[in-house]
Amino acid sequence: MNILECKNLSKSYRKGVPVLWNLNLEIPAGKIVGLLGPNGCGKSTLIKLISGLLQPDSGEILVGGNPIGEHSKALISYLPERTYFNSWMKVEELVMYFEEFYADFDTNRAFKLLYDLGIDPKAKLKALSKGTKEKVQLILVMSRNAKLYLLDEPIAGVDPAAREYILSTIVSNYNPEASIIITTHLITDVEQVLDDFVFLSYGGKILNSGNAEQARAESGKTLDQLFREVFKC
Amino acid sequence: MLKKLLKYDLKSVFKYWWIAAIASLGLSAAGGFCISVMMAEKDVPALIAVLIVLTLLFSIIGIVAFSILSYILLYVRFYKNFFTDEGYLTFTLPVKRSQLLNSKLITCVLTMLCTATVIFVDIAIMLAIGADKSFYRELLWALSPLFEELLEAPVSAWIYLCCWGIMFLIFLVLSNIFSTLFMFACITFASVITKKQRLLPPLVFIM
Repeated sequence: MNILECKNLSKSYRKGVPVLWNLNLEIPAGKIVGLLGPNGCGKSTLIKLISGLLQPDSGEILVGGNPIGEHSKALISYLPERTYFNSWMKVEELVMYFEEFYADFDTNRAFKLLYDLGIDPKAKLKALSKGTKEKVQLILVMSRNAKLYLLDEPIAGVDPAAREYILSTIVSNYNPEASIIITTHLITDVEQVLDDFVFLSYGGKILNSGNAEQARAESGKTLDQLFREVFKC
Repeated sequence: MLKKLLKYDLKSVFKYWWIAAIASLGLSAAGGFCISVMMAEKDVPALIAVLIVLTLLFSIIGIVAFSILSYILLYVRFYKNFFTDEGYLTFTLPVKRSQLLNSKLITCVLTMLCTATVIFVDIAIMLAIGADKSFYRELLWALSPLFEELLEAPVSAWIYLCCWGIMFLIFLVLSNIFSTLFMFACITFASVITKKQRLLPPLVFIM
């Protein structure tokens, strides 16, 4: 069964300049999918449409069979590329906030991850560094037993050691029956955890997609090398 | 879900509101003290008189500032929740959009009712501390014809008066709701036009 279905999805920010045009995409359950593409090709736009932050100009999105709305948002755990906290809260208050709004939130897992990272739950969010805030955000997202995880550039702007930690947190804490969509252009770091991949080009065109291992075996190249070939400037 | 949204909206606003409310009560007490000194002492040195007047002026400005601050807290909460990065969290919560707006609206109404109550208490404190017995005697004397008429009035007049009182309260709450919705509309309208000018939304509301 597909956890995500996008049918003839179109979105533009300016008249005559579509970011996504008649995009058709299906993501099965239980897969880690890399949504890969150059800057400005519509990866974040697609993620925002699925999470309900944007409305499509036309087309349909179904998450677990539900159209985008209250029920689909309960199934989705979304990590945006920027921090989105209420800055007046403490870390533990934010954990309680997530526990109240999301029935699938695992509070014990969240506090365990905070403890492992040495983050004081009583610390004020506005006193935390940028990197620590991003880690708190990741912990909150991955502490949910969601059906679909949307991670928008989770490793952009962090050091290589932190990237490794983030990817291992993602892999070890997500619901195995769920799917993860990771958008990134740092393919070398991410491809080791991917089951499937989608190469998205400008206008939302899918240039290539499939099983990552199979693609590597058939071409004898890494996904990063394939990406560079496909999107050669 | 509406209760949960309301809980966090009220928490966010009242986190700073109650500090301002206590400050306002303190300023009203100071203002009342100044009034009592002015009424009791006839021969006050000029410097002391200036200080007393300035303190009284400052306390009145402080009380007015408190009511403006309440609006600012509500404006900031609405703007940040919907039009800044906090919107990523707000709009991905598993709640209806109408619940998000209703929560903000109820928070605004409750906050303004609490603010009005505190201002009423401020005035009462000022009068209680500042006014002497002769003030209350004269006030009672001025109001006594009204009280006599009310006591002699038929029951129907009382019912009529009560109905007007209830209508006035309903009108107060409704006007609060409409002014809140108007503030939301101004913020939304201004934010759609430009995201750079953060002062534009309150200017549009004031205009």
